[in-house]
Amino acid sequence: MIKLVSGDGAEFEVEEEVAFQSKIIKDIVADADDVIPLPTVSSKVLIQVIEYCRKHAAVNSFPLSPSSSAAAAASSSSSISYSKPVSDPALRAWDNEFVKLNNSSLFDIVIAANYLDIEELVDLVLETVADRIKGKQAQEIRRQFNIENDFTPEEEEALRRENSWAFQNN
Amino acid sequence: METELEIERLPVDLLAHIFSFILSFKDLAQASRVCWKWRRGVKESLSRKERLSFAGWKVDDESAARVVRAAYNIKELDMYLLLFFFFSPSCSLFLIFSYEILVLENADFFVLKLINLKLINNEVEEIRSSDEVEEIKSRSCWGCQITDEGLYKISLTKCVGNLLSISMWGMAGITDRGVIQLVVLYYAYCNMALAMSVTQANSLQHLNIGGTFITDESLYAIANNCPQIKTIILWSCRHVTENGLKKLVDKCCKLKSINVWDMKVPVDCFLRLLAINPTLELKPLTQHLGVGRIWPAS
Repeated sequence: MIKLVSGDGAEFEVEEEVAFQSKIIKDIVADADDVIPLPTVSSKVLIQVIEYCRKHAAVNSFPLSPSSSAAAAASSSSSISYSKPVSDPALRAWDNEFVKLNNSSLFDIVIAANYLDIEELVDLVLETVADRIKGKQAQEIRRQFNIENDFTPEEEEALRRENSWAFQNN
Repeated sequence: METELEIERLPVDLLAHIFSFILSFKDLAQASRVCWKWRRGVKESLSRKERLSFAGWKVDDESAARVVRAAYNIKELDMYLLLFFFFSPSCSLFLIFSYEILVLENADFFVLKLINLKLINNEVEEIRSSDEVEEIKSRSCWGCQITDEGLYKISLTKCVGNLLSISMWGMAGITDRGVIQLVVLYYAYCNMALAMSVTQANSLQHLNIGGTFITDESLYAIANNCPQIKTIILWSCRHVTENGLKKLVDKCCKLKSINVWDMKVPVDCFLRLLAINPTLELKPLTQHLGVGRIWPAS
Protein backbone atom coordinates (compact mmCIF):
# COMPACT_ATOMS: atom_id res chain seq x y z
CA MET A 1 0.00 0.00 0.00
CA ILE A 2 1.06 3.54 -0.70
CA LYS A 3 0.01 6.52 1.33
CA LEU A 4 -0.78 9.73 -0.57
CA VAL A 5 -1.07 12.96 1.40
CA SER A 6 -3.03 15.83 -0.11
CA GLY A 7 -2.15 19.50 0.24
CA ASP A 8 -4.73 19.93 3.01
CA GLY A 9 -3.28 17.03 5.00
CA ALA A 10 -5.74 14.25 4.20
CA GLU A 11 -4.22 10.79 3.86
CA PHE A 12 -5.27 8.19 1.29
CA GLU A 13 -4.05 4.61 1.24
CA VAL A 14 -4.13 3.07 -2.20
CA GLU A 15 -2.83 -0.10 -3.79
CA GLU A 16 0.39 0.13 -5.76
CA GLU A 17 -1.26 -0.59 -9.11
CA VAL A 18 -3.69 2.28 -8.51
CA ALA A 19 -0.98 4.74 -7.54
CA PHE A 20 1.25 3.60 -10.39
CA GLN A 21 -1.24 4.95 -12.92
CA SER A 22 0.80 8.06 -12.15
CA LYS A 23 4.23 7.77 -13.68
CA ILE A 24 5.63 10.32 -11.24
CA ILE A 25 4.53 8.30 -8.21
CA LYS A 26 5.95 5.18 -9.77
CA ASP A 27 9.32 6.90 -10.14
CA ILE A 28 9.22 8.33 -6.62
CA VAL A 29 8.33 5.03 -4.97
CA ALA A 30 11.28 3.32 -6.62
CA ASP A 31 13.70 5.22 -4.41
CA ALA A 32 11.71 6.60 -1.49
CA ASP A 33 9.40 5.46 1.26
CA ASP A 34 5.72 4.78 0.85
CA VAL A 35 4.33 8.08 2.10
CA ILE A 36 4.05 10.54 -0.73
CA PRO A 37 3.14 14.15 0.00
CA LEU A 38 1.30 15.92 -2.81
CA PRO A 39 1.23 19.49 -1.52
CA THR A 40 -0.32 21.06 -4.62
CA VAL A 41 -3.26 18.65 -4.83
CA SER A 42 -6.34 19.21 -2.65
CA SER A 43 -8.12 16.26 -1.08
CA LYS A 44 -11.26 16.93 -3.14
CA VAL A 45 -9.30 16.61 -6.36
CA LEU A 46 -7.16 13.73 -5.11
CA ILE A 47 -10.32 11.73 -4.36
CA GLN A 48 -11.44 12.15 -7.96
CA VAL A 49 -8.02 11.29 -9.35
CA ILE A 50 -7.79 8.17 -7.17
CA GLU A 51 -11.28 7.15 -8.29
CA TYR A 52 -10.11 7.38 -11.90
CA CYS A 53 -6.85 5.50 -11.25
CA ARG A 54 -8.66 2.78 -9.31
CA LYS A 55 -11.07 2.17 -12.17
CA HIS A 56 -8.34 2.13 -14.79
CA ALA A 57 -5.99 -0.04 -12.72
CA ALA A 58 -8.81 -2.57 -12.24
CA VAL A 59 -9.63 -2.73 -15.94
CA ASN A 60 -5.98 -2.94 -16.91
CA SER A 61 -5.26 -5.81 -14.55
CA PHE A 62 -8.31 -7.83 -15.67
CA PRO A 63 -8.22 -7.33 -19.40
CA LEU A 64 -11.31 -8.23 -21.36
CA SER A 65 -9.68 -8.51 -24.75
CA PRO A 66 -6.22 -9.41 -26.03
CA SER A 67 -5.64 -5.83 -27.14
CA SER A 68 -6.26 -4.37 -23.70
CA SER A 69 -4.05 -7.01 -22.11
CA ALA A 70 -1.29 -5.98 -24.48
CA ALA A 71 -1.87 -2.38 -23.46
CA ALA A 72 -1.67 -3.34 -19.78
CA ALA A 73 1.55 -5.24 -20.38
CA ALA A 74 3.01 -2.24 -22.16
CA SER A 75 1.94 0.14 -19.41
CA SER A 76 3.90 -1.79 -16.81
CA SER A 77 7.15 -1.19 -18.62
CA SER A 78 6.59 1.93 -20.66
CA SER A 79 4.18 4.75 -21.20
CA ILE A 80 3.18 3.99 -24.76
CA SER A 81 -0.28 2.71 -23.94
CA TYR A 82 -1.28 5.84 -22.05
CA SER A 83 -1.62 8.18 -24.97
CA LYS A 84 -3.76 5.79 -26.96
CA PRO A 85 -7.51 6.17 -26.82
CA VAL A 86 -9.26 3.86 -24.42
CA SER A 87 -10.48 0.91 -26.45
CA ASP A 88 -12.69 -0.87 -23.93
CA PRO A 89 -16.24 0.43 -24.56
CA ALA A 90 -17.34 -0.05 -20.92
CA LEU A 91 -14.35 1.92 -19.68
CA ARG A 92 -14.96 4.54 -22.34
CA ALA A 93 -18.53 4.94 -21.08
CA TRP A 94 -17.27 5.19 -17.52
CA ASP A 95 -14.78 7.89 -18.60
CA ASN A 96 -17.57 9.84 -20.29
CA GLU A 97 -19.52 9.84 -17.05
CA PHE A 98 -16.44 10.77 -15.07
CA VAL A 99 -15.89 14.00 -17.02
CA LYS A 100 -19.46 15.23 -16.64
CA LEU A 101 -18.19 18.02 -14.41
CA ASN A 102 -18.10 21.77 -14.59
CA ASN A 103 -15.13 23.46 -16.21
CA SER A 104 -13.58 24.49 -12.94
CA SER A 105 -13.48 20.91 -11.62
CA LEU A 106 -12.07 19.69 -14.91
CA PHE A 107 -9.24 22.23 -14.71
CA ASP A 108 -8.46 21.15 -11.15
CA ILE A 109 -8.27 17.54 -12.25
CA VAL A 110 -6.17 18.18 -15.34
CA ILE A 111 -3.65 20.27 -13.43
CA ALA A 112 -3.30 17.48 -10.86
CA ALA A 113 -3.14 14.80 -13.57
CA ASN A 114 -0.51 16.78 -15.42
CA TYR A 115 1.49 17.15 -12.21
CA LEU A 116 1.17 13.43 -11.47
CA ASP A 117 1.87 12.54 -15.10
CA ILE A 118 -1.25 10.47 -15.78
CA GLU A 119 -1.35 10.93 -19.53
CA GLU A 120 -4.61 9.10 -20.17
CA LEU A 121 -6.43 11.33 -17.71
CA VAL A 122 -4.87 14.51 -19.13
CA ASP A 123 -5.98 13.47 -22.61
CA LEU A 124 -9.45 12.57 -21.41
CA VAL A 125 -10.05 15.89 -19.68
CA LEU A 126 -8.49 18.09 -22.35
CA GLU A 127 -10.42 16.34 -25.10
CA THR A 128 -13.58 17.04 -23.13
CA VAL A 129 -12.64 20.71 -22.89
CA ALA A 130 -11.88 20.73 -26.64
CA ASP A 131 -15.37 19.35 -27.32
CA ARG A 132 -16.81 22.26 -25.36
CA ILE A 133 -14.93 24.72 -27.59
CA LYS A 134 -15.79 23.19 -30.96
CA GLY A 135 -18.28 25.01 -33.15
CA LYS A 136 -18.41 28.10 -30.94
CA GLN A 137 -17.68 31.72 -31.70
CA ALA A 138 -14.86 33.47 -29.85
CA GLN A 139 -17.35 35.55 -27.87
CA GLU A 140 -19.27 32.46 -26.74
CA ILE A 141 -16.04 30.79 -25.69
CA ARG A 142 -15.04 33.80 -23.59
CA ARG A 143 -18.41 33.78 -21.84
CA GLN A 144 -18.30 30.05 -21.19
CA PHE A 145 -14.82 30.08 -19.69
CA ASN A 146 -14.93 33.54 -18.11
CA ILE A 147 -12.05 34.78 -20.19
CA GLU A 148 -11.23 38.42 -20.38
CA ASN A 149 -10.77 39.77 -23.87
CA ASP A 150 -7.33 41.37 -23.72
CA PHE A 151 -7.21 42.45 -27.35
CA THR A 152 -7.53 46.13 -28.14
CA PRO A 153 -10.33 46.99 -30.59
CA GLU A 154 -7.68 47.59 -33.27
CA GLU A 155 -6.08 44.22 -32.67
CA GLU A 156 -9.46 42.58 -32.75
CA GLU A 157 -10.29 44.17 -36.05
CA ALA A 158 -6.95 43.01 -37.47
CA LEU A 159 -7.64 39.46 -36.27
CA ARG A 160 -11.09 39.51 -37.76
CA ARG A 161 -9.60 40.53 -41.09
CA GLU A 162 -6.79 38.00 -41.12
CA ASN A 163 -9.09 35.10 -40.46
CA SER A 164 -12.06 36.38 -42.39
CA TRP A 165 -12.29 33.12 -44.33
CA ALA A 166 -13.14 31.30 -41.13
CA PHE A 167 -16.07 33.52 -40.33
CA GLN A 168 -17.97 33.02 -43.52
CA ASN A 169 -20.18 30.14 -44.41
CA ASN A 170 -18.50 27.76 -46.71
CA MET B 1 -14.16 29.24 -4.78
CA GLU B 2 -13.13 31.85 -7.26
CA THR B 3 -14.90 31.26 -10.52
CA GLU B 4 -13.52 33.97 -12.75
CA LEU B 5 -10.61 33.43 -15.09
CA GLU B 6 -10.65 29.72 -14.30
CA ILE B 7 -9.04 28.59 -17.53
CA GLU B 8 -6.25 31.07 -16.94
CA ARG B 9 -4.86 28.54 -14.51
CA LEU B 10 -3.93 26.23 -17.35
CA PRO B 11 -0.40 26.75 -18.67
CA VAL B 12 0.04 27.40 -22.39
CA ASP B 13 1.24 23.86 -23.11
CA LEU B 14 -1.98 22.38 -21.70
CA LEU B 15 -3.97 24.90 -23.74
CA ALA B 16 -2.02 23.80 -26.82
CA HIS B 17 -2.82 20.21 -25.89
CA ILE B 18 -6.53 21.11 -25.92
CA PHE B 19 -6.21 22.63 -29.39
CA SER B 20 -4.46 19.52 -30.67
CA PHE B 21 -7.84 17.77 -30.34
CA ILE B 22 -9.40 20.39 -32.60
CA LEU B 23 -8.99 19.60 -36.27
CA SER B 24 -11.17 22.24 -37.85
CA PHE B 25 -9.33 25.36 -38.88
CA LYS B 26 -12.51 27.29 -38.34
CA ASP B 27 -12.61 26.34 -34.68
CA LEU B 28 -8.90 27.08 -34.34
CA ALA B 29 -9.39 30.49 -35.89
CA GLN B 30 -12.14 31.25 -33.38
CA ALA B 31 -10.04 30.00 -30.50
CA SER B 32 -7.12 32.18 -31.53
CA ARG B 33 -9.38 35.22 -31.28
CA VAL B 34 -10.33 34.60 -27.66
CA CYS B 35 -7.32 36.21 -25.98
CA TRP B 36 -3.56 36.52 -26.31
CA LYS B 37 -2.84 33.40 -24.29
CA TRP B 38 -5.17 31.29 -26.41
CA ARG B 39 -3.58 32.75 -29.49
CA ARG B 40 -0.20 31.51 -28.26
CA GLY B 41 -1.76 28.15 -27.44
CA VAL B 42 -3.16 27.73 -30.96
CA LYS B 43 0.19 28.66 -32.45
CA GLU B 44 1.96 26.20 -30.22
CA SER B 45 -0.46 23.41 -31.11
CA LEU B 46 0.10 24.06 -34.81
CA SER B 47 3.81 23.70 -34.36
CA ARG B 48 3.22 20.19 -33.05
CA LYS B 49 1.09 19.02 -35.93
CA GLU B 50 2.73 16.72 -38.42
CA ARG B 51 0.05 16.58 -41.01
CA LEU B 52 -1.88 19.48 -42.38
CA SER B 53 -4.62 19.25 -44.88
CA PHE B 54 -6.36 22.06 -46.66
CA ALA B 55 -8.20 19.64 -48.87
CA GLY B 56 -11.48 21.09 -50.00
CA TRP B 57 -11.11 24.26 -47.90
CA LYS B 58 -11.80 27.73 -49.08
CA VAL B 59 -8.92 29.50 -47.46
CA ASP B 60 -7.28 32.71 -48.47
CA ASP B 61 -3.59 32.43 -49.15
CA GLU B 62 -2.52 34.72 -46.30
CA SER B 63 -4.22 32.48 -43.77
CA ALA B 64 -2.90 29.34 -45.37
CA ALA B 65 0.64 30.66 -45.49
CA ARG B 66 0.41 31.75 -41.86
CA VAL B 67 -0.91 28.41 -40.72
CA VAL B 68 1.75 26.57 -42.65
CA ARG B 69 4.52 28.83 -41.33
CA ALA B 70 3.43 28.10 -37.78
CA ALA B 71 3.29 24.38 -38.43
CA TYR B 72 6.99 23.87 -38.87
CA ASN B 73 6.98 20.23 -37.88
CA ILE B 74 4.78 19.37 -40.73
CA LYS B 75 5.67 16.37 -42.82
CA GLU B 76 2.73 16.07 -45.09
CA LEU B 77 0.97 18.93 -46.76
CA ASP B 78 -2.10 18.18 -48.77
CA MET B 79 -3.32 21.02 -50.92
CA TYR B 80 -5.56 18.99 -53.15
CA LEU B 81 -8.33 21.05 -54.66
CA LEU B 82 -7.56 24.02 -52.50
CA LEU B 83 -9.65 26.97 -53.50
CA PHE B 84 -8.53 30.53 -52.95
CA PHE B 85 -10.66 33.56 -53.02
CA PHE B 86 -8.46 36.41 -51.98
CA PHE B 87 -5.22 37.39 -53.46
CA SER B 88 -2.38 39.02 -51.65
CA PRO B 89 1.08 39.10 -53.10
CA SER B 90 3.03 39.30 -49.89
CA CYS B 91 2.77 35.79 -48.56
CA SER B 92 5.45 33.21 -48.84
CA LEU B 93 5.79 29.57 -48.04
CA PHE B 94 9.53 29.57 -48.01
CA LEU B 95 9.91 29.17 -44.29
CA ILE B 96 8.75 25.61 -44.26
CA PHE B 97 11.42 23.08 -43.63
CA SER B 98 10.30 19.56 -43.37
CA TYR B 99 7.72 18.43 -45.87
CA GLU B 100 8.04 14.89 -46.92
CA ILE B 101 5.08 14.75 -49.20
CA LEU B 102 3.98 17.57 -51.42
CA VAL B 103 0.80 17.17 -53.37
CA LEU B 104 0.50 19.86 -55.98
CA GLU B 105 -2.27 18.34 -58.03
CA ASN B 106 -4.91 20.93 -58.71
CA ALA B 107 -3.34 23.26 -56.19
CA ASP B 108 -1.25 25.08 -58.71
CA PHE B 109 -3.16 28.29 -58.15
CA PHE B 110 -1.96 28.38 -54.59
CA VAL B 111 1.70 27.95 -55.34
CA LEU B 112 1.45 30.34 -58.20
CA LYS B 113 0.18 33.00 -55.87
CA LEU B 114 2.64 32.19 -53.18
CA ILE B 115 5.52 32.84 -55.44
CA ASN B 116 3.85 36.01 -56.55
CA LEU B 117 3.99 35.12 -60.18
CA LYS B 118 1.64 34.64 -62.98
CA LEU B 119 2.30 33.01 -66.27
CA ILE B 120 1.25 34.67 -69.48
CA ASN B 121 2.50 32.91 -72.58
CA ASN B 122 5.44 31.43 -70.73
CA GLU B 123 6.43 34.86 -69.46
CA VAL B 124 6.37 35.40 -65.76
CA GLU B 125 4.88 38.61 -64.56
CA GLU B 126 4.15 40.02 -61.21
CA ILE B 127 0.56 40.48 -60.38
CA ARG B 128 -0.07 44.08 -59.54
CA SER B 129 -3.66 45.01 -60.07
CA SER B 130 -6.85 43.51 -58.78
CA ASP B 131 -8.10 43.21 -62.36
CA GLU B 132 -5.53 40.53 -62.96
CA VAL B 133 -6.62 38.77 -59.82
CA GLU B 134 -10.15 38.64 -61.12
CA GLU B 135 -8.84 37.18 -64.31
CA ILE B 136 -7.01 34.40 -62.51
CA LYS B 137 -10.00 33.63 -60.40
CA SER B 138 -12.20 33.15 -63.41
CA ARG B 139 -9.64 30.99 -65.10
CA SER B 140 -9.85 28.64 -62.13
CA CYS B 141 -7.36 26.02 -61.08
CA TRP B 142 -7.18 24.06 -64.26
CA GLY B 143 -6.58 26.99 -66.53
CA CYS B 144 -3.77 28.36 -64.45
CA GLN B 145 -0.98 25.90 -64.12
CA ILE B 146 2.25 25.71 -62.31
CA THR B 147 4.95 26.13 -64.85
CA ASP B 148 8.65 25.58 -64.94
CA GLU B 149 9.16 28.90 -63.20
CA GLY B 150 6.89 27.88 -60.37
CA LEU B 151 8.62 24.57 -60.08
CA TYR B 152 11.96 26.36 -60.04
CA LYS B 153 10.83 28.52 -57.13
CA ILE B 154 9.70 25.43 -55.28
CA SER B 155 13.09 23.84 -56.01
CA LEU B 156 14.78 26.72 -54.26
CA THR B 157 12.87 26.32 -51.02
CA LYS B 158 14.52 24.59 -48.13
CA CYS B 159 11.72 22.10 -47.84
CA VAL B 160 12.51 20.52 -51.17
CA GLY B 161 15.43 18.55 -49.79
CA ASN B 162 13.12 16.80 -47.38
CA LEU B 163 10.63 15.67 -49.92
CA LEU B 164 10.20 11.95 -50.36
CA SER B 165 7.40 12.17 -52.83
CA ILE B 166 6.44 14.70 -55.45
CA SER B 167 3.35 14.56 -57.56
CA MET B 168 2.99 16.75 -60.61
CA TRP B 169 0.31 14.73 -62.24
CA GLY B 170 -1.36 16.41 -65.17
CA MET B 171 0.49 19.69 -64.85
CA ALA B 172 0.68 20.43 -68.54
CA GLY B 173 2.69 23.61 -68.04
CA ILE B 174 5.74 21.68 -66.96
CA THR B 175 8.47 20.78 -69.38
CA ASP B 176 11.89 19.16 -69.17
CA ARG B 177 13.41 22.43 -68.02
CA GLY B 178 11.36 22.50 -64.81
CA VAL B 179 11.87 18.83 -64.01
CA ILE B 180 15.62 18.97 -64.66
CA GLN B 181 16.04 22.05 -62.47
CA LEU B 182 14.03 20.40 -59.73
CA VAL B 183 16.00 17.16 -59.60
CA VAL B 184 19.40 18.82 -60.02
CA LEU B 185 18.73 21.32 -57.24
CA TYR B 186 17.21 18.57 -55.15
CA TYR B 187 20.34 16.49 -55.54
CA ALA B 188 22.57 19.46 -54.75
CA TYR B 189 20.56 20.28 -51.67
CA CYS B 190 20.67 16.71 -50.39
CA ASN B 191 24.43 16.54 -50.90
CA MET B 192 24.92 19.83 -49.14
CA ALA B 193 22.81 18.72 -46.19
CA LEU B 194 24.74 15.47 -46.07
CA ALA B 195 28.10 17.25 -46.23
CA MET B 196 27.14 19.62 -43.46
CA SER B 197 25.55 16.80 -41.47
CA VAL B 198 22.74 19.19 -40.68
CA THR B 199 20.04 16.66 -41.24
CA GLN B 200 19.83 13.17 -42.44
CA ALA B 201 19.21 13.90 -46.05
CA ASN B 202 16.16 12.38 -47.56
CA SER B 203 16.08 11.21 -51.08
CA LEU B 204 13.27 11.36 -53.51
CA GLN B 205 11.53 8.00 -53.68
CA HIS B 206 8.25 8.58 -55.46
CA LEU B 207 7.73 10.77 -58.46
CA ASN B 208 4.52 11.26 -60.39
CA ILE B 209 4.99 13.15 -63.63
CA GLY B 210 2.13 11.47 -65.49
CA GLY B 211 0.27 13.52 -68.04
CA THR B 212 3.07 16.03 -68.56
CA PHE B 213 4.98 16.76 -71.75
CA ILE B 214 8.40 15.75 -70.56
CA THR B 215 10.86 13.93 -72.82
CA ASP B 216 13.87 11.68 -72.36
CA GLU B 217 15.89 14.65 -71.12
CA SER B 218 13.92 14.64 -67.85
CA LEU B 219 14.45 10.93 -67.41
CA TYR B 220 18.21 11.34 -67.93
CA ALA B 221 18.26 13.98 -65.20
CA ILE B 222 16.18 11.80 -62.87
CA ALA B 223 18.46 8.83 -63.58
CA ASN B 224 21.52 10.89 -62.66
CA ASN B 225 20.13 12.72 -59.64
CA CYS B 226 17.64 10.44 -57.93
CA PRO B 227 19.49 7.21 -57.15
CA GLN B 228 16.99 6.21 -54.46
CA ILE B 229 13.87 6.47 -56.54
CA LYS B 230 11.47 3.56 -56.05
CA THR B 231 8.37 4.36 -58.03
CA ILE B 232 7.80 6.64 -60.96
CA ILE B 233 4.58 7.33 -62.79
CA LEU B 234 4.99 8.22 -66.45
CA TRP B 235 1.36 7.68 -67.29
CA SER B 236 0.64 9.18 -70.70
CA CYS B 237 4.09 10.75 -71.14
CA ARG B 238 3.96 10.42 -74.87
CA HIS B 239 7.22 12.14 -75.65
CA VAL B 240 9.32 9.68 -73.72
CA THR B 241 11.13 7.02 -75.74
CA GLU B 242 12.90 3.79 -74.99
CA ASN B 243 16.23 5.59 -74.53
CA GLY B 244 14.95 7.54 -71.54
CA LEU B 245 13.37 4.51 -69.92
CA LYS B 246 16.49 2.40 -70.44
CA LYS B 247 18.74 4.99 -68.86
CA LEU B 248 16.35 5.27 -65.89
CA VAL B 249 16.22 1.52 -65.29
CA ASP B 250 19.99 1.23 -65.83
CA LYS B 251 20.92 3.89 -63.29
CA CYS B 252 18.27 3.55 -60.62
CA CYS B 253 18.75 0.08 -59.22
CA LYS B 254 16.20 0.61 -56.44
CA LEU B 255 13.43 1.26 -58.91
CA LYS B 256 10.51 -1.05 -58.18
CA SER B 257 7.77 0.11 -60.46
CA ILE B 258 7.05 2.32 -63.44
CA ASN B 259 3.57 3.20 -64.54
CA VAL B 260 3.78 3.12 -68.32
CA TRP B 261 0.13 3.24 -69.19
CA ASP B 262 -0.68 5.03 -72.45
CA MET B 263 2.95 5.66 -73.40
CA LYS B 264 4.00 5.56 -77.01
CA VAL B 265 6.69 2.89 -76.81
CA PRO B 266 6.59 -0.58 -78.33
CA VAL B 267 5.95 -3.59 -76.11
CA ASP B 268 9.34 -5.17 -76.83
CA CYS B 269 10.91 -2.09 -75.28
CA PHE B 270 9.32 -3.13 -71.97
CA LEU B 271 10.77 -6.60 -72.41
CA ARG B 272 14.21 -5.07 -72.76
CA LEU B 273 13.65 -3.06 -69.59
CA LEU B 274 12.77 -6.24 -67.75
CA ALA B 275 15.97 -7.79 -69.07
CA ILE B 276 17.91 -5.08 -67.25
CA ASN B 277 15.88 -5.37 -64.05
CA PRO B 278 13.76 -8.54 -63.87
CA THR B 279 12.08 -7.52 -60.60
CA LEU B 280 10.77 -4.30 -62.07
CA GLU B 281 7.02 -3.91 -62.16
CA LEU B 282 5.65 -2.20 -65.23
CA LYS B 283 2.15 -1.06 -64.45
CA PRO B 284 -0.34 -1.99 -65.65
CA LEU B 285 1.50 -3.93 -68.33
CA THR B 286 3.16 -6.69 -66.33
CA GLN B 287 -0.02 -8.27 -65.08
CA HIS B 288 -1.97 -7.43 -68.19
CA LEU B 289 0.27 -9.11 -70.71
CA GLY B 290 1.81 -11.59 -68.36
CA VAL B 291 5.13 -10.21 -69.51
CA GLY B 292 6.89 -10.79 -66.24
CA ARG B 293 6.16 -14.48 -66.31
CA ILE B 294 6.70 -15.19 -69.99
CA TRP B 295 9.88 -13.34 -70.60
CA PRO B 296 12.57 -15.09 -68.57
CA ALA B 297 11.57 -18.45 -70.00
CA SER B 298 11.52 -17.39 -73.63
